[in-house]
Amino acid sequence: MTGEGPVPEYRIYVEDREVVTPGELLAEGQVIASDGTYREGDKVYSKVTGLASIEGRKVRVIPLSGPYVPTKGDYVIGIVQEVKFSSWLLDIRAPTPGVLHVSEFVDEEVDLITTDLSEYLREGDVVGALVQEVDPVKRVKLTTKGEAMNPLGRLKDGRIVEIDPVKVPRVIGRRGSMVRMLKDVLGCDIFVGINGRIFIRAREEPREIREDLAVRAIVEIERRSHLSGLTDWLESTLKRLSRW
Amino acid sequence: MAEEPERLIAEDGTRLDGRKPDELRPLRIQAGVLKRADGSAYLELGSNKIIAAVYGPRELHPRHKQKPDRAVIRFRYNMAPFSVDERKRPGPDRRSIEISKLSKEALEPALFTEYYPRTAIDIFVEVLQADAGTRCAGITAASVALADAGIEMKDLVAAVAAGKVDGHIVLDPMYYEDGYGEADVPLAMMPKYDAITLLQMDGNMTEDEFKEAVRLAKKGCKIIYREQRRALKRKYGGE
Repeated sequence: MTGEGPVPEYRIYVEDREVVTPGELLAEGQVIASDGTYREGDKVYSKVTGLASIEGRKVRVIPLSGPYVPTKGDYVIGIVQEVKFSSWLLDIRAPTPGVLHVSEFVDEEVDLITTDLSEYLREGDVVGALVQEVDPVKRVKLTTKGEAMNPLGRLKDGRIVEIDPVKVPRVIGRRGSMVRMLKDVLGCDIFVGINGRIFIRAREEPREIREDLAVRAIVEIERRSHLSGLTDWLESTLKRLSRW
Repeated sequence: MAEEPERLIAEDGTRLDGRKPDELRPLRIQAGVLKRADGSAYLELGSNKIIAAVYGPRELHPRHKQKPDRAVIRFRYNMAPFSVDERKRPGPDRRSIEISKLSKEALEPALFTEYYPRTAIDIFVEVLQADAGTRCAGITAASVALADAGIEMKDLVAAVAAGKVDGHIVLDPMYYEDGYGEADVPLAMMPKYDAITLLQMDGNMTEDEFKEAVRLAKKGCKIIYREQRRALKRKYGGE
């Protein structure tokens, strides 16, 4: 650091990647208290069980378990739970369901008086959506319009795997390396919802075997998420198994 | 209950089970023992065996019970029919309803309930084997289960009782001491804040004895607190 003034005073009490518990003192002084932490006066504490992450003066805790908490811009995979008069309620594995309004799903004009919305989406249908807004009381609005890494709208002819939402980053891998490898080796479309729901659809025959392998691979990633070198290990295993 | 022992505490202060007055029973906590629950914990304190499970935050039905600004905590303390000498008649009774209410109130200050509006957090405590001090052991286990569920918390809550036995103030009374002793003081606290979240007294004590009981129980809570954190870290390979 250059400049005249004294370096801001701060102390960090935990190691990077150390497991911490709620109420544990992480740092003191002029640090940036980020996700998973809370501040009381000069001190910063953890509010979850997780791995401490220290980047310079930024302190945060990566949770090791816990519910999916929706954030604006998340790509999620929802399942229609209820068809309402002008919207659908989607189960997105968050504490409360997400609301998908007709205008956020259908392009043409819909006469709500004469149309039953289950003509478009029925209970049990799977939808890829973006979190458009989370209001102060944590009501979640969804949309299928806009730009996303994965397809928006109804997803069909595939399979769904559910994993712990905190393990999603592992399935995505560093800069998407894990999903990319799975897609290439297995010839499947794989869409990962941040809410821990993964959609799998094989692009070619033998579809069933490809999808089976993809499901098993994802279950294995979840189970071994704490190990390093997972992508390479899985790639060689899958290549051995995928001789169709 | 078996016949009353002639004396509960020897002249040198040793208790029936060989403990010193300020000593806890052996404590063992394991986090994450149930697959279906969002968070869970198993606890043994002496002969007490307790399992705690947490579900949520999840949607609360019926809707009129939802709070628009925070989560509703529901706590159910239950004793298994085989947890005591005589068969315990199953189902809620006066005692377990009271314990459920105060356990909920003992844990609530530690939770950031405002982060989960309109939801419910369900806590279940099942006493598999009881040997006095189960309400405190239940709170201790539930707190670990909440942290295991990844629910955001200010601190863990640790709880233990102190009692008056044969005129001595002792920590963590066991079955006989609780049954034949003169008084019992269960206490729960958030050790980080030195804040008491549950304090009861059953029996008679002088003011000084009460102060001593609170001091002992607080000391016990700090030991329990360390073990709670250790249990959570152990689950994730931190220790």
